[in-house]
Amino acid sequence: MPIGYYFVIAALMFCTGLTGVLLRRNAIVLFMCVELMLNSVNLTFAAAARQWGGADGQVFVFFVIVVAAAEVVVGLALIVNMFFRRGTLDVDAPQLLRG
Amino acid sequence: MQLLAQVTSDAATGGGAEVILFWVFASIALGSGIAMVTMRNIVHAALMLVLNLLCIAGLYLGLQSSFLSIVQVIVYAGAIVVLFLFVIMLLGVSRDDLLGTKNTTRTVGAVLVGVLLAGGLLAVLGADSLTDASACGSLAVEGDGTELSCIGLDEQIAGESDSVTLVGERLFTRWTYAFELSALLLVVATLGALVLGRRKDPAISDEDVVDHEAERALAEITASRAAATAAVVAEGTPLDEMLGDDSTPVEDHHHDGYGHGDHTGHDHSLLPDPGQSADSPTDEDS
Amino acid sequence: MSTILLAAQAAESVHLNEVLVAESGVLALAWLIPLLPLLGFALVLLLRSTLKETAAYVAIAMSTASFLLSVGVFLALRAEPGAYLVDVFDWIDVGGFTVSLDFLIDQLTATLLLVVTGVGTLVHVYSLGYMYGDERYERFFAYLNLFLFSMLMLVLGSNLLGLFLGWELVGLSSYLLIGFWFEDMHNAVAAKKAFITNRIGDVSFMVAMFYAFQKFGTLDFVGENGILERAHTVLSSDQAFILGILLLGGAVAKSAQIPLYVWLPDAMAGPTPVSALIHAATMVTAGVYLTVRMAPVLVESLDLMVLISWIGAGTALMAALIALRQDDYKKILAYSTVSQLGYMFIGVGTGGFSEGIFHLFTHAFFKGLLFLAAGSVMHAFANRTDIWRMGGVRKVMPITFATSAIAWLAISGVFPFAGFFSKDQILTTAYEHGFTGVWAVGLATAMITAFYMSRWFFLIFLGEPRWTEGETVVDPHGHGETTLHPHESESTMTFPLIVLAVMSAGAGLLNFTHHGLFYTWLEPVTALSQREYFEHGPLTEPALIALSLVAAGLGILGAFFAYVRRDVSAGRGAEVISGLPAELLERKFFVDELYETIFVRFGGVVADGAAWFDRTVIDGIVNGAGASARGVGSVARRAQTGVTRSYVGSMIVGAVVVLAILLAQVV
Repeated sequence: MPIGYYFVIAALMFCTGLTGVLLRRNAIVLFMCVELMLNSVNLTFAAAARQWGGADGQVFVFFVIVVAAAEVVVGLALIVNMFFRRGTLDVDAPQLLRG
Repeated sequence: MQLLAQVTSDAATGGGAEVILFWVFASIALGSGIAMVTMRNIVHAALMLVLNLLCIAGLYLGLQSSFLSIVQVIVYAGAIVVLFLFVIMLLGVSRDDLLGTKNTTRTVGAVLVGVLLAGGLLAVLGADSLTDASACGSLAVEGDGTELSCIGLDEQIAGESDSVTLVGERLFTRWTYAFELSALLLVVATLGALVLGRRKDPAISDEDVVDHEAERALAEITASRAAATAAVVAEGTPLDEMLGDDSTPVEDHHHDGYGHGDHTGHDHSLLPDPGQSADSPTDEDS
Repeated sequence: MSTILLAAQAAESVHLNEVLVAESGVLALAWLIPLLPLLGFALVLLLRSTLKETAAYVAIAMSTASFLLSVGVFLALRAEPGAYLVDVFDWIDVGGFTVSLDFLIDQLTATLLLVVTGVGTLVHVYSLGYMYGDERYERFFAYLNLFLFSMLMLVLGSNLLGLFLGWELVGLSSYLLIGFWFEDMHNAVAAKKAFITNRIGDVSFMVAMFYAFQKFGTLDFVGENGILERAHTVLSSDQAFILGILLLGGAVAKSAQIPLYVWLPDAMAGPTPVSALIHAATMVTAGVYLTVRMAPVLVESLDLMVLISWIGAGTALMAALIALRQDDYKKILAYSTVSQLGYMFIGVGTGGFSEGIFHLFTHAFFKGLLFLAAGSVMHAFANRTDIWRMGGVRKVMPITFATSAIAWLAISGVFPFAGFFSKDQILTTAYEHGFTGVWAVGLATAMITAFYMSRWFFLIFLGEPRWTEGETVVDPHGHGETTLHPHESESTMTFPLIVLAVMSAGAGLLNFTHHGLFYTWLEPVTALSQREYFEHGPLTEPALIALSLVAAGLGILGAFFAYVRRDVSAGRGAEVISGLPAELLERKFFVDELYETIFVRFGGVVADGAAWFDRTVIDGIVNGAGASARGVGSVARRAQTGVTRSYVGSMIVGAVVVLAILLAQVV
């Protein structure tokens, strides 16, 4: 199986997740889309590890998973916090940074 | 597991099983991804994410990464998505009313950006990558034409007996510090979530709790407990039996409101205070 | 300079100092000499509320101990001559550059140690009585100890940086002491003037250090790599001139020579013991010490030596002339110090280094004595300092009178008092080394010196009193009105007077002949800088001595007829010099006014220009930067929508662009 196929599927998944991030306003869904993007990158790592014959790519994926877990924990806590404070999950609602 | 092993060995040889595996899992992964992005119901979207993640776990198998495959199932599908579902349930927002944005320009723009990026990425990968059947192909050539050493994962795995061993060996030798740091990261993330997740309701302050009657009562209770402890120690009875049910809330209350001053010493000390036991001979606790 | 007979080689017969490390005995304890006064300073300052008046005794004990150690060092050096290095600690150690805070003890250092600690201790004792009752009595003694410490550090430093440390400390402590009664604006201004004038010299000194380090790679004085021994081989004549003139810049500021002498006459604004200390033992001697210490560098450039000698001669003459018409008896002494320092510079400039140091040595005694005697008179006359309202003081203050008489004769250069020997030997050297012009100026100055010092002495101590017992006087230091009851000062004040009088009378015997005891004692230090100068005139040494004596006699005689034989009850109207010259002298040749015009006014114009530049250009740039930032911000802030996803969108667009660039490079 040519490795290129894995890359292609990963790229497509990445763009799907990206479109979701741009499309959805719901914070939770947005977050899930980010997870999707992360996973597509993981897939790329694993595929590259296979192509170049290095186990290091797999170790990288492992670390990405760890970081993603940490990120999800903090991110979801933030979302919960935001919901309690504002009563909405709309990521467009908070515009404190507006110049 | 039998199937898994077979599939893995098939994948290693680059046989037909891998091709089937790839096409099945890849199409489901992509489909579930698109479904997740477009679904209005958040719970459904989360379930689509699970499906997607499981498919990726399947693709890992094809890539001879059985360790990653298992981790993917346990951590991602098992823990992370469950966390997502918990939050959705907690907040009670299963339907996303925000999806139907009135802003069509933005929707079109989002899709356009996605398609553009996809096109760009595919263009970078090029058509050659799809036709190259070997893991070590034309890509593995340096500028001056010499072929890179591309032993492939097979041989590495063969040297280490299996992929889990290989990853484990790498993780605890070459990447030890990163591994330690990731442990630290998890701790920090946990603490962060604790801090962020705490409700900011105005807590009952110490001053509200303090009243002198309670303080006096507490002093009595503490003293009598000390006396009781003294008695128990003298008789050799286990301490746990001595402490009645009502002692626990008193202790908690004491800890919250009066965790200061000279009471603390009596509260936490299991040693009897002879002076106090002499003063209050009545044993209220037991 | 066509008749230069500059022989580069030092005299062969002289035994030079060997550099040794002091390992045992009193020499190894030399680090205690400056440390004790420092300890005294710290103790007194910290415990002054506890110690109260005993603070003075602590300070005196420290300085006495320091003096005794100095005597020990002197004796040890006498027994085994040499240049001893006392390791203290490494001050700076950067890469290959090491500056150690070691002490160097040779004959020159030992001499100055004795002067500084000896006269310093006497001033301490004197202050017991003089400063009694002052509200900052303890603090005064703390500062005196600090001053002593500073000067000792200066003298003991084994390299230029160590010397410079003491140099700066001296500047600081003089500032503190001159402005000791800072409530009076006049004193505060004088302290500031002294400090700032000295800073000018300090900068010059610093540049000299940089230059010396560039040339020698070290700042150490002695040793094989030291500056002194290598000066002849390393420096060309021009380079020696540059380094010398930079060092001289420092020296003329500290030792109050033209053009930086202006601070010293004002510096007598401080308490009189401080004046005695500054003018006699410490501070002003620093410049002379520096020039003698660095003599091997100076002698490499004959032009420089000529310049130094003329600076000295000019200063000596000018200060003496100004002193002729001053009415404040402390001010007369101040100008006489400037004048006498001029003599020391003549000594240095004409190659008579040990003669210069010898004059420094004797001057410390008689000038210290003069100031302390003046303080004694001030003390008795409720701080009155106008000589025209004195007269006949000898009857009420016999000890002060007798000791002052010795000091007067010494400074006037009357045989056999100390000043005669030291001054005459300087002039003899000047003449014998062919500096005839300098010699002539020095001789004239000697006559003027004798005249104005006699005027000082006669108007204060002789004649009829121009004051009345019991008259009401207003104390210039703001202690209210008192009635005048002149009396002899108490024993703590007269004791130092007597000691100094003995030294003023007898110190000259240490170098009775020109190449006497003192000369040979210093020879191991000065031998490196022995040179031959110009051909000298026909006069022989006895003739020179006779001329000096005649000059002194003429001066005293003139003053005698002007101020004793004539009726001086009319006060200033009885002055012999009058008209334009008198005006010129009284206003001190308008030097202060000149400096005021050149530096202060001109500086003011420059400062005004700088201020304008600051307001318009600098502020304009700063404000313009602020305004432009605000302008850019008001445009750029439109990009900040606050919508999270728009940020994500722009991030992705950026990523796509980067991707495109990478792609373009691959293809």
